[in-house]
Amino acid sequence: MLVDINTCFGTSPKKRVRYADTVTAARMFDEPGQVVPTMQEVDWSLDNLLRVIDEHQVDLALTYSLRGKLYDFVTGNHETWEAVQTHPQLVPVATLDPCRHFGCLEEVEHCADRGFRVFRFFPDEQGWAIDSLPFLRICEAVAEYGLAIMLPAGGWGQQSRIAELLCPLGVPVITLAATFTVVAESLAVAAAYDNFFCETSAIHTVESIEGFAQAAGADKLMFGSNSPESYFKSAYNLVEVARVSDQEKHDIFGGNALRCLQLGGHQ
Amino acid sequence: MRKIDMHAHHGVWSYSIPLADPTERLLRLCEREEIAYMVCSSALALLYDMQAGNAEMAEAFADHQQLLGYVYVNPNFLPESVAEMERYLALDYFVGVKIHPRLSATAENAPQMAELMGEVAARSSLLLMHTVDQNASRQMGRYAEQYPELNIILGHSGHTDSNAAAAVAREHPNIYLDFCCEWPGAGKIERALEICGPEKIVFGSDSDLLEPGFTRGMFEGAHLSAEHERMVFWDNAARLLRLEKPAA
Repeated sequence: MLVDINTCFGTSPKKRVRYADTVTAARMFDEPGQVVPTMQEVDWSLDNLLRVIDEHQVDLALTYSLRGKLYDFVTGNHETWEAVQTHPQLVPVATLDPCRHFGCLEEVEHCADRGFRVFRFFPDEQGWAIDSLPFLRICEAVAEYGLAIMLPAGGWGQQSRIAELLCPLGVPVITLAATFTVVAESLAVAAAYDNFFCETSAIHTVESIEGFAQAAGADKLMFGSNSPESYFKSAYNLVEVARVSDQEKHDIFGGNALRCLQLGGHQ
Repeated sequence: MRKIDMHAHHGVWSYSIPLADPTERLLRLCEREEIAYMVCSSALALLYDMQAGNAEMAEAFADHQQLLGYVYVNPNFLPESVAEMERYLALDYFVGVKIHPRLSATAENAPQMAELMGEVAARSSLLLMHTVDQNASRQMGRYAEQYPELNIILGHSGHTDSNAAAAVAREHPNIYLDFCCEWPGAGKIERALEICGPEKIVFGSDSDLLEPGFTRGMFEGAHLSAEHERMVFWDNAARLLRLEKPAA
């Protein structure tokens, strides 16, 4: 079973989708103050996402609406919920912006009641800090419903801080897009916290996947492609060629997500 | 399919990559990914010591005909860079020159870069230039016009500015693109094919900093025709390297 935990859809204006959101390593390659790389055209439509996951035989794709991330989480989460009603291969991921304050906790309850399994957060793009009290209060509410929390791995140190702050809540905490610059931190944190997991889309080297499996366990990795922004096969090939056991590969490609996010009802 | 990898590195990195013998690691990647020739620059030269890095790589590659070298040069050390080119381009397994503006803290349009570019063009027909935005791509277009005998690969194809890099490649017959990048943005290769055509694209992996299968996945996602695959993975690079051996 192939489960992709990192997809999205929407009609996003490209100028608001920052390169650095998904590839923090850009900061390493590019001098601060240089020309900001322009975001290239991406077909973010739901139809295109469905085409990608169908082409690559993805059984389940966790997805969220860009409207929720960039504009309004209430209508965005509703858009996500509507999409999954007609496409059972999609699993809804809710978004929230702590800066809004009003309606945040109500939206947690609303989404939990509707069957969302994960809340995904965007501190860089929305301009708030992971150690801010409003965010932590929201996470406490999310944890009361037993839902998972996803957020970007970020730069060096962020994953350690995320784990310190959120893992005591007892729900799965998943960091996304950890690049080769911070994978060493990913595996150390995953080894230290039972409920800390990492998504694979930006790990970039097979040895990092293998090293992660050895140090922290393959059961702490979940496959994600960052579709439709990224080529699906780039992330897929990393896991596919990794020298881990068939069982571990099976777990990374879907078993871990099914188990930890309790996606049984979606199969 | 057999491939020529025009963008790789030899050495160690401060990332979570095992500290195995770097030459053996590259050879293993070549075997697994059907890479017949891998053209590398030295990580040691890029990050710390130009002369020591070039020397280390030259020694490591001497007995491995599938591993080829770029001489790394630095615009801040012009006489030394010229000496490096004189020393290593005389060896048949050094096939070109590598410049990294950021790691040498020199802009593409800086006077010392322009001076170095003249020295490179006088000694080599192939340059791999780390190129991460549209301004850099356009500046490389100006150098391409100035030195029409120098073939220039825009390493990383301008990162997220790859449309602009492709436009520069279309305008200049001696500009080529490679797409290794930690950002595997869907559609960028298809757009480049439309803008500059498959004859201007070569395969580069950024090994062993990035996994070759990661970049291969971008081309798989772009659904190249068999003819375009052959051009990208072999023919274009073979032409630049003046190889006579056909793809198997």
